[in-house]
Amino acid sequence: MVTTIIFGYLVLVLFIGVLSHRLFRGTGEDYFIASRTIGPFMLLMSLFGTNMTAFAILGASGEAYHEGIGVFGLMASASALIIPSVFFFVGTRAWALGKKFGYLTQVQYFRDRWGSDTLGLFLFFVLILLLIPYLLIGVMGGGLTLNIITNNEVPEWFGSLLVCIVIVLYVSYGGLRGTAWVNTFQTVVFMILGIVTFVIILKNFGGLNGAMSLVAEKHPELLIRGENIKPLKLLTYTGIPLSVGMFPHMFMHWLSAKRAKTFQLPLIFYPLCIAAVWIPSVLLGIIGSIDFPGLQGAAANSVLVKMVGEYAPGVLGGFLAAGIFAAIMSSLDSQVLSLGTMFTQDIVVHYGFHDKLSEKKQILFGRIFVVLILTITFFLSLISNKSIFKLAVWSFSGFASLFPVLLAALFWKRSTKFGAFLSILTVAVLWIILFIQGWNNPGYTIGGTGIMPVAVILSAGAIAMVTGSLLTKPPEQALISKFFPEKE
Amino acid sequence: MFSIKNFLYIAWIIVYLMHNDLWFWDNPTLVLGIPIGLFYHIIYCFVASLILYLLIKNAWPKFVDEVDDDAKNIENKVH
Repeated sequence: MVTTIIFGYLVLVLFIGVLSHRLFRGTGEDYFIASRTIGPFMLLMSLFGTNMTAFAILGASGEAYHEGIGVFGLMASASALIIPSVFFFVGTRAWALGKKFGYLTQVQYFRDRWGSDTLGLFLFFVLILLLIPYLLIGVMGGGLTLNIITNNEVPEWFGSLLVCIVIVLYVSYGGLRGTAWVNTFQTVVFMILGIVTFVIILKNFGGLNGAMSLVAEKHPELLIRGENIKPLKLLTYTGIPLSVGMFPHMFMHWLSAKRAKTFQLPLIFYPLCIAAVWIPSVLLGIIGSIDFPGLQGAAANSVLVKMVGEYAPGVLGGFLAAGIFAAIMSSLDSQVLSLGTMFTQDIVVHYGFHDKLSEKKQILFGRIFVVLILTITFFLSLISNKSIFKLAVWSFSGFASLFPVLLAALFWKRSTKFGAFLSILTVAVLWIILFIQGWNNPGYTIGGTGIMPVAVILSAGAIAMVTGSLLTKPPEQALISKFFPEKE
Repeated sequence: MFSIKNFLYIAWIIVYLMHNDLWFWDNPTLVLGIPIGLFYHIIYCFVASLILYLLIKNAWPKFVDEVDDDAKNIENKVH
């Protein structure tokens, strides 16, 4: 029954994505950014749904299982302030520049901003490198969910493969409009079902008070920060939500907004949406420690699905599992589409064919690249056994550390392509070094101080940006005038 | 003259700094059934929403609206 409901849900999602194709105008701009026609509610659902991944559902509950309530402060409330602030100060400007100059990708903007093809190409590869761990958590999350909710009947690899196939199909067919429609549907589904799951499970514990009393008896350390999280860690974790400024898929959604004012509803409601999803995830992760003690490391990723299986079996369990699937796929689809867009626009069109490639062929190249990257990610998912939360944090840290490059592009006239290049190189090298050091070290912080690697990499990236720019000659006036017109 | 925009930017910084709630770090008190360290951060999300609302009303970027208006004028001419 559960398997039937999930398969039925996946068919419905596919149907919505394909249905969106009826509005397709046949142009590259329409396929890649829905001709910049997305309205406020759909933008909110797309931006929020894209950001809420296996990380927010499975990873958050898994991490809360080990570390308690502090996980909410680490990611949720920090994101509630910083992410919409990034949309406000940066997203609106990116939209305006995209509208004015016709950009379809970040790389087009950065290449144009500093007049450097090499910079654009380098950034392209760095963004792809950082996106793969992010894709991985979605693919792994899909496999894990289906495996647990069907009591090991469906192997993890099959769930992962199924998620990949469904996404390739509706992304290939529907483009960004299809993705936005499906995201809107899936975000509404996982928000409602998340709250329903929470209420149903809590009833079995005698409500919130009853559940917290039980946790206080068995695992009181989960109800405080205590030794679980150091103050410096909480402070430096606030650098991680800056990653949203450089996520290719978020940039793509910004460009799709109909008007500047389209951003206003998402800005106000984004923090409330975060609270609505993270509160149940974190509390259920903590409560899961009562019924499922002894889950070690990455095994805790499964605690939420186990709770659903235990307290909401049958039909309801199927729907709730579909809600988890919804959260996972609502991110994966945008990430996958952004990859296709980047490859087509930034490599194939720019280097291969310039203006000679037809719209139809551009879309075909995008689809081929999407299939290739998802295939690689699927095979990586078969050999990776790391915590979803930790994989995500590493990916986010890399993107967050590129934030100074974006700030300099938007606000600093004196910045040069050499500064940008040095910053990106510094971030890439430091990220690889610290990733290798920290990968097999749970709870890794710099020298055990509580300082998150993102704080160091971001600072180094910022210093490199400033130093590289000031040590090289200023950009040409024509370039400055293009992006910083006099009337400002 | 000290503008409301500057006041909001300072308020944003204060709200950011208040994220590190050292005062509730080891406090296990429950508020409405929720540990106070978590309850505080839930309220924090509402405060974040409020500050974004105030920024939209009082500090909306002009450049962005200018591009928007230019685009609207072009659309109106076409139609």
